Amino acid sequence: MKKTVKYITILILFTLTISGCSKFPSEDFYVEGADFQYQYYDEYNRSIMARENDAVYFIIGYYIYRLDEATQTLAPLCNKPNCLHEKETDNKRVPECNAYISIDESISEIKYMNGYIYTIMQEWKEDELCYGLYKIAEDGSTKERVYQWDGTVVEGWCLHRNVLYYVEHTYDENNQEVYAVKEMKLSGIGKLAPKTVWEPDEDITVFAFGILKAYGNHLYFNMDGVKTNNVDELTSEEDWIKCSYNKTFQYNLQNKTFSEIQVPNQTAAQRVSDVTFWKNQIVYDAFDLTKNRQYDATTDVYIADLDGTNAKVLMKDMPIYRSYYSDGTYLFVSNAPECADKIIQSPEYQNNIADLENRKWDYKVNVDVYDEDMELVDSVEPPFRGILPYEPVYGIGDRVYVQIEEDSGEKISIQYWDKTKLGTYNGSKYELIKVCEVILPEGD
Amino acid sequence: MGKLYFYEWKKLFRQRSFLFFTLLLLLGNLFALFQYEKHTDSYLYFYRLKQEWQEYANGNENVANAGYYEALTKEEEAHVSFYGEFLNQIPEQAEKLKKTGNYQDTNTYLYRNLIKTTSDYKGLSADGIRANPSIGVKELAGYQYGIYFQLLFLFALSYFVISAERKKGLFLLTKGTRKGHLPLAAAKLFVMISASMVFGVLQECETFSFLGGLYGYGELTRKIQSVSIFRDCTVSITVLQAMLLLLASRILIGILCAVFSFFLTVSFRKEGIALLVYVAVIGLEMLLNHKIQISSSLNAAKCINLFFAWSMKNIFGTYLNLNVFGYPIDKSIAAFGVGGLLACGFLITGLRQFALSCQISSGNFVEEIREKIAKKTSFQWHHTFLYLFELKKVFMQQKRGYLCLLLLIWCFFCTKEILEPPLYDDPAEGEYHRILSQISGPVTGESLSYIEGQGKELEGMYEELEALGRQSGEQAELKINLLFHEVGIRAEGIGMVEEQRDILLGKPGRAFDKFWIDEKKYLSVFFDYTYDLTAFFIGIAALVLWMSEMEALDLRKGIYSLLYTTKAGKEKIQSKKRQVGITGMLYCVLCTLFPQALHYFRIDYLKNAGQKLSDFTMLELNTSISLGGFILLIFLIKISLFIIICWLLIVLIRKIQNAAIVIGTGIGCAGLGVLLLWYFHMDVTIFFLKMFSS
Repeated sequence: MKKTVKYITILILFTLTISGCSKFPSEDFYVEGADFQYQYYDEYNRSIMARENDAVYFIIGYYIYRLDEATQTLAPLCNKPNCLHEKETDNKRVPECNAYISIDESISEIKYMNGYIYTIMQEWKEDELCYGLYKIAEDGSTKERVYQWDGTVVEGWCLHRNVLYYVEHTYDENNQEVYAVKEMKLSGIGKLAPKTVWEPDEDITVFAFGILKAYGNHLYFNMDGVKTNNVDELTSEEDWIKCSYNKTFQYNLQNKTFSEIQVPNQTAAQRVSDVTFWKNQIVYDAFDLTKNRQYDATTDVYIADLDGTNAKVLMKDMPIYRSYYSDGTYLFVSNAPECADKIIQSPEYQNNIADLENRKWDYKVNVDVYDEDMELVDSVEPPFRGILPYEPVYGIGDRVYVQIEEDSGEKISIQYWDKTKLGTYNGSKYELIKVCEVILPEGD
Repeated sequence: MGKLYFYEWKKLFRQRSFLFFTLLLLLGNLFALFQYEKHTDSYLYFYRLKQEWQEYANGNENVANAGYYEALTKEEEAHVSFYGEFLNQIPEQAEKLKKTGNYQDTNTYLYRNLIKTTSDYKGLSADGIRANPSIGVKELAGYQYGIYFQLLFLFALSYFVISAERKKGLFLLTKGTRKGHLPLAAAKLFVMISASMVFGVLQECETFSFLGGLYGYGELTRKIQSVSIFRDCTVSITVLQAMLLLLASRILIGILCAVFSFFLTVSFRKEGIALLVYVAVIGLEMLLNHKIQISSSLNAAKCINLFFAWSMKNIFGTYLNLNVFGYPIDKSIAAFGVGGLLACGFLITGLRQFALSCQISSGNFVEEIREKIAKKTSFQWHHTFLYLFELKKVFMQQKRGYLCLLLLIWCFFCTKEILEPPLYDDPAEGEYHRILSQISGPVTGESLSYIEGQGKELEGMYEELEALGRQSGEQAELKINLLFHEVGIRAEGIGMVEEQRDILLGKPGRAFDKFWIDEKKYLSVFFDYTYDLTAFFIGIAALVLWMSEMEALDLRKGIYSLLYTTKAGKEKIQSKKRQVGITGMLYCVLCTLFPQALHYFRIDYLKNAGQKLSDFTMLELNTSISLGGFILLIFLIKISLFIIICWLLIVLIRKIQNAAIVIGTGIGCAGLGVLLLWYFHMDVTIFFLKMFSS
């Protein structure tokens, strides 16, 4: 009898252990629903939208909204009809709304994975602010905290195949910065136990970690800083360019190896600061520091395997101030960085002249759209939003959604331009079609 | 069975220690309630300044705190006037949600929940919603600590009704009688149920009366939704009805716990294990209630929970339907339904266990291993030293050796945590600590120059930035980035040190008699009351568990009369027992206070122990006691507390001579005391800091 009980206990424990081991995709291409949605990464390296089949999620103010595409209905991501959502005035009830996120839209992000919208919020824990990872069901029925960090700043994060990758930023007792790229499984054995994946060398002063993206079995991140042990030894422009450290790395999630993404015969002055995913490969160019502000300068755009090998020229002699986006169907090449840089360098901007938003600039923003055979399909002119040209999030599917402020910020309208009309624009402005609007409460 | 029932009551009433303990718990509840209320705004503005509030209520707007009363009144009025609109927007929201894709399938929980929510609110209206002072009701909803007293009472009750008789061997006799099985068990169970009801009524009545006396409940006939915290209530009841329902629900919870403790005490036959399981289950309930969020997918574990159901705010103020096989069931119905089923289950199983069991304990796998180890190592006990023998009896026998190990492991992990290098999320903190670690020690010319140097370095960086701003090129841009980066990391921290310097030098006394102290680190240790209270409770609990058997074990075995006839005699044996008690106390002190002492030592290795407390710049203290003296005082007081508790335990043990009562009383009182202190963010260190503050 005792032996039977013992064996049954062991069997139950074994079954429970095995059941904790979930199966994640291991294909080296994009898997919808489980992978990082690279199509919703904006120009500031944030995911402000996410998609799940026929619904798109937005951050508006301090709330997540769900747009049902079939019925064109926009509603806060909260299934409680007795919740006042953004109209709630009782501060104690505000966090009870499932759609509420405690960080303003200017720095918050949302990401979709396996039926949940994930976000990182700031919250109070015993008189100290800390970060917590939350997941909200795609129908707004549940909201729970998955993990809470203690005394750590989370700068940049990415969800990919049930693993959270993030950049941790702390200071040691000598006030030296400690950066680390970490991974944390969200299920299975080793769940919620952060592990360090990569740390910068000690002689690197890190300015920022940019881009944290994932595709297939690869994670990509960029680090910007300066690599030197003695600043005083740097006397010439050349010395400074050499020590400037801006590199993009790829991390192979299967065999746990790193490599730097480089262009062939990369010089000391060239920097790869971002990658775009196109046809199961990466597309990137290298910015040459010696050609800073030379708007006529050109560079080659490369396409390579996901680990950065077998790089080939995709587009020759492209202007250097260009950004590249992909929605999986088209490759979008925008000159918005050039226009934005020219505006920022202008005397009007530098002197902060009033009413810059309504000023008509001479620069025309243009986006060239290429198909998978690299044939130019069309050119479009996106609108300005605020002072600088706007780079929309191209997203998945036929619609490019944008949030437009109306009535001096009292209303936010959700509009879109229809990608099925590509081929008819020929350089003209695209038309935005309004879907719905949200009236913001006073004080937002 | 009626006669048996009344006889059980008669036996219970004859237990003076039980009656005294019950009275103690009722008074304790009142005391806890008073201490809780004393620190609320309501107590200040509506009790201590009652006259002012009454004047304001009568129309005098020139009272001193008119602003506070006005804001509160407006809040209540706004809630009442908005309530109708709140109800109207529910069907509107529901219609909007129905249009979305998630609600197209009508056979899902999501859709059914939406329909149920709309229909639950449909029957409500703004009639009967009136703004009225709701302070008493809000405070009643806020006080949730009565459950701890109830749980303590019930465990003590199960001891006196069942365990006490079992220890005396009376069950072997009574179970041999005609009504000794089921009728006897039923009588005992119903005594426990009735006693829990009586206690529940007494406890809640004293709570209601106390709060009613302090604040009043306003108009009892208005709807409960008039109080803003109950806005989400879907039941159309008055305030009075809500209070009566609260009383009823708490009594039901008490009955469930009574049946559960009966079941445990009957099933395990050893009070220690029953207590352990009881505490484990209660602890788990507390943890689930605390850790799980109401919007979580595991909210059923939160809602079907004693602590959740105890709260008035949760019962009436939280609207939630649980997903039961795709159908929405109100959380309170689900909780009380499950509670009812469990109560029936425990009742039937408990009665059956009592009737069928022979009350003989059996061993287990872990126990067998422990006994094998004890046998192999028994040679070390082959001696005649009385002290060592008493030591083994108290600290090793009956699994008490585990406590030694657990305490040591806990001490080890605390020490490990303290020895880990710290990491900060704020560069200002990092810079502050860096500078203070460089100049730690007495104020000297060099240290003042160092701080000035840091400030000049910062100024230099600003000037360089200004100059670089006029240049162009990659070199300039990189330099600017680097400088901005460094300024960003260092500026605020340097500012904090400079501020500390200025305040320190502005204090009375010679500058060079003062010290550079990392005040932030000291403050973080001073105000870490959670760790202090946890360490204290663990130490006391271990001490109580060890010493509870010191006298009781020998008494139970009836060997004192034999022991006292030996050569050692009474005096020597008692003296050795005292020494053993002191050894235990010292071990507890070491394990609990060592990590704390290390924590203080690690800050600056006590280099700055000579700093007067009045020279702290981040605290306003007006005492000239030195920092070293203050830390020593705190530790002496903590050690004294252990000595006093050790002495009290020795006295208690010799008077009561019952281990279970000593354990229950000791740990219960320590636990309650710690909980209260934790709630008020207080410990010995903070108490003295407040005493010394100006």
